[in-house]
Amino acid sequence: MESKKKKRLSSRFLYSQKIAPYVFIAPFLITFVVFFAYSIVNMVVMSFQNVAGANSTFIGLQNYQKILPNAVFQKALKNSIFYTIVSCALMIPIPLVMAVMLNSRHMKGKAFFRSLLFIPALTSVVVSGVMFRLMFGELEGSFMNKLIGLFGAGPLIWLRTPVTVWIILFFLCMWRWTGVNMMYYLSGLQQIDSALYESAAIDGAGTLDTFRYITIPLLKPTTIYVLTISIFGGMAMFSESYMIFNGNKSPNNVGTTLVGMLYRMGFEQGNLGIASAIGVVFLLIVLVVNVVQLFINGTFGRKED
Amino acid sequence: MKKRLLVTLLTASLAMAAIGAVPAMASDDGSTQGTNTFVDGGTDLSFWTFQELHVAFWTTMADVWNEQNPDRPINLTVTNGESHSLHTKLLTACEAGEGTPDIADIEIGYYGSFVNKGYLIPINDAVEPYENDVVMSRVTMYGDPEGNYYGVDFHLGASVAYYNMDIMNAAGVDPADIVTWDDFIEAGKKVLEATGKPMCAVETADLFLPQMMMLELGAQYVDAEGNPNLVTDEHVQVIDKIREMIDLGICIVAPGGGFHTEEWYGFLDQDGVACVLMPLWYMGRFTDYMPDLNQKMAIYQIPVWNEGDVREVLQGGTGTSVIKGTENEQLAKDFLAFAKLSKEGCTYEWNELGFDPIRTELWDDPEITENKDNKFLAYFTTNPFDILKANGTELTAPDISGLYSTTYSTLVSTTYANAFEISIDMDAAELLQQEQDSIIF
Repeated sequence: MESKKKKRLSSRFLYSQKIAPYVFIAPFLITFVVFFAYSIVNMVVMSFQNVAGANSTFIGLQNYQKILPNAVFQKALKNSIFYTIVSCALMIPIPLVMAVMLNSRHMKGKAFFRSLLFIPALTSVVVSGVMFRLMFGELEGSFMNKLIGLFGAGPLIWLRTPVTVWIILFFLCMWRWTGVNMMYYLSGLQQIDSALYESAAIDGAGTLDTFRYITIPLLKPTTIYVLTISIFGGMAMFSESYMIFNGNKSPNNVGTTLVGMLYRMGFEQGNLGIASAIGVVFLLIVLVVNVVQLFINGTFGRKED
Repeated sequence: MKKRLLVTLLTASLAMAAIGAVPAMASDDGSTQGTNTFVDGGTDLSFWTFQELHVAFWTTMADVWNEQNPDRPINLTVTNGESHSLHTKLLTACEAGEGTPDIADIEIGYYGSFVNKGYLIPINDAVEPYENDVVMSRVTMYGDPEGNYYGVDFHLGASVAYYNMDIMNAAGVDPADIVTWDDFIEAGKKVLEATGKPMCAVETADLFLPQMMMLELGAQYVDAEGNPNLVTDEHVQVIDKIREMIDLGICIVAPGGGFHTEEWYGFLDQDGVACVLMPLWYMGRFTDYMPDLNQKMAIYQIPVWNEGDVREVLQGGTGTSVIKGTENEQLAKDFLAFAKLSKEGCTYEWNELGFDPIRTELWDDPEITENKDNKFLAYFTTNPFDILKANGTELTAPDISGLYSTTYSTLVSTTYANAFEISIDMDAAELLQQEQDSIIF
């Protein structure tokens, strides 16, 4: 009798409509609280401290007063913002067009191109960073200098000139992430009802018209998602720059981002209070940018329902 | 019944996937391990190093130690990983006070952070028995103003000038005649005229040449309190001198920005430059990466500012230290001092790693200095021990105390890139002030 009751209790627990959702989200929630929420709260606290293990002391706003006027911090901030803007400008239209092309009935070798474009996302940044560093070597014999030599251009010092450094970083970014964003768009495209295209064709709409009036509007949820993760990804850029410069030091900080500076202050120099302050500023910027972006895109409004 | 099993399985697998996702994010940094021949009853010691070549040194020395000290045997496990990430992990572990090794190799650029925060154990008593046999300036530099030493270097790190004799002969210059920087510049002009090649190179991502010239003037990057001190007359003088050489075309920015890059090795190997000014431990880079320069390179003393100045400076290095929190403090200290300062240890370091010995008796031991089978003595056309003997034992070492690590990080990321490449026309004092202001401490 007792065991039967227990059994019923456990089965009631397992089949309960109310409890089941919480059970399913529990793993995420627990990892989130332990590894993210706790660290974020702690980071905010540490940003007001002179962190020295057990002897940490509160020093008010001193950490912020040190970083905000600092030239390197401002440069890192500019670098991060510039990288985010340009990478979003590149990483949304290009994968979108590629996805539409790959989704087209007339396209040959779809599976081949799809995997080809996706492979870079599976390689490690460490390996690709080293490859890029060697390809963009500054001696005459390096791959890229040979290549531009074919067009009569002289050997370039790729990794120590700001313009070429940015070209390389965007090139690496595109090479690596185009395939991923393209996959998001492909899955978005496959959800669009083909009947819409058929009726548009019957009404005499051309390819560009259907792209403009059917594909783009219906892909809006995908675009918002891709934009959001691209903003996070762009602001958080670090490993690409770390690998290309063989360490967290780029000449005159051309490739130093906020995360790079945070890493330098916190883990290379052991100044965790300053690093936390940078982290808080960083978090605020990303939050504001994304909330504004989502607001503009109408994600918070429910008027369409 | 079946349904319930299914539900349980699903939940379990989801939970496992969620848990599994976390460790899967940790990247594998390709660290490797080495051990000595373990003996029964040996004390376990753990060791971290960022340099793969050091692994064999430490495990070999542990075996020698066990032979000589059967009453205090050790079982040493050496873990090796990539430099940046290893130092970062070590600093984080020290910060947390958990998971630290007993002993670790700490590169000079990072060393200050560890001393500054009190993460290392003084080793004065373990070094004492060796005091009269070694160059003590190489031990005291890893110390604090109170007279504690925390680490011992692998090598002396005496700076020398490596000349490519093919280029020097083509220009008709005998490196032995170069004494001052002005002589060096005159020779550089001849080299440029005769061969079209630059005399030397300067790094933008490291600091060896400017630091050498600073130390010759007796100047340091940090002041007596250990605070960053970039704006000094000596520093301005050094930057102006290097800029003068760049303007004349006899000094270039090293391809790749540093003397440890793939581009630079290739450039140097193809007779790209007449002279490299680096410490003696750089010999290993020649034997490893520049096979084509075999028997072409000669080692001479470095140029100085004024005739009659002592031509010696110590640079670079790795301080091996006992980390706070070890349970075998005395044993770790004694083993560390034995490995680095004993005759056995110094001989191994010279023969296998090409490190100029810290122990002076080896400088006069013909078995070492005249050994034709030694790959370093066979590679170079002059004998480096002549320079060590001429320099003596009163040597100038960099001050790495206080905020040296923080200062170093700025110097090698912005200061020298600006000074020698990006803002080459900006007034040196003004530039240094701007750099000084950008340091957060």
